Amino acid sequence: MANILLLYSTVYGLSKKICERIQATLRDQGQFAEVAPLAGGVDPAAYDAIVIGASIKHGKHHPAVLEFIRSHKGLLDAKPSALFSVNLVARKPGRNTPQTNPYLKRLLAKSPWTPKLTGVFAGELDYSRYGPLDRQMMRFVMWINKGPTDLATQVQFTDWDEVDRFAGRVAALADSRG
Amino acid sequence: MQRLLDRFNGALHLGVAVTAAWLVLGSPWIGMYDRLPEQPGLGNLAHVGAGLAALLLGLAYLAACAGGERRRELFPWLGGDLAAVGRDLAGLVRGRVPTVEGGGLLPLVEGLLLLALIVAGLTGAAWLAVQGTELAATLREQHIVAARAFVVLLLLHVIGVALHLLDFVRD
Repeated sequence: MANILLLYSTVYGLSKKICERIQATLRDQGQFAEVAPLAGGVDPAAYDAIVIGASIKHGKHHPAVLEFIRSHKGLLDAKPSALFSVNLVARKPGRNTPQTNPYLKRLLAKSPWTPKLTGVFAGELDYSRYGPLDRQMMRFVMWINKGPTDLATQVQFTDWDEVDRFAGRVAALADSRG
Repeated sequence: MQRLLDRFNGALHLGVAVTAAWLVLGSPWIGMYDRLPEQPGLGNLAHVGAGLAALLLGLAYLAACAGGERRRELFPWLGGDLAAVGRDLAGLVRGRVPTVEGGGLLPLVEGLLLLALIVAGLTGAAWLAVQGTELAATLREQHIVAARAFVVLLLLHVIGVALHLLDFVRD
């Protein structure tokens, strides 16, 4: 049984929810998993495997994600480790895999660490959570992309079956540790 | 805690942007040499007031960006790590738009813009403190050089933001 740490960097809480779903799946498979905020000061050295989940805001991941990766590169390289990104673009077919999602590709291009497993999940659109400026900007982006522009829209595009499949791959990765 | 800090930084950025916009757009109505005129007028007073506000906000924003990954993004030359900037420049030559993820050309411009704002603010505040002296005339010249650098960097920053938004919409 592996001891797996699931770290999240979230804007509106979806990355945390996805980590909790992965945690539940891992526990069902007999693994021990703990969910914690990336900036919460948890010591990753105490775990057998590490998963980082990060969402984007204004077109980029939080700087704390790369800061954590740079600070713990040796540990991440040495242990079974995985990374997933949560973004709205991943709702589109053709941009919903680690190989085709532009945000994950950009993060990996700037990251000194190459995760052994990567994932990408579609985010959610909830205009009520955005500030006035962000709300109009997102509405404009959605209008250009022929997405929902009704300000009452609350839609989650996350494919939870894919999250469960990713959790299975995390379990296999953790079990493969030397 | 992280969310509160992010909101505070966002508010600081907005404050810097608004005061800087006022300073740049109001610059045609400034008429001062080595001292405030006896009857300074609204244009001059507003420039001095907005300049001091921009300096304070700029220093607070600099302090907020002085640690961790944000410092690495905005001031990569401090650690001698210009690899991401080099990659962005090479990509630009091949027609590839630079991105804001994890440092590079666009955050470098933002960092230099912040420094130019602070230098312009410091020379302006020093001019105010020593007005009426020979040093004030010298400080005015330095203030103008810093302000011109600020305007050029601001234009580059606006182009960078526009490219980023274009990327955001296209994605």
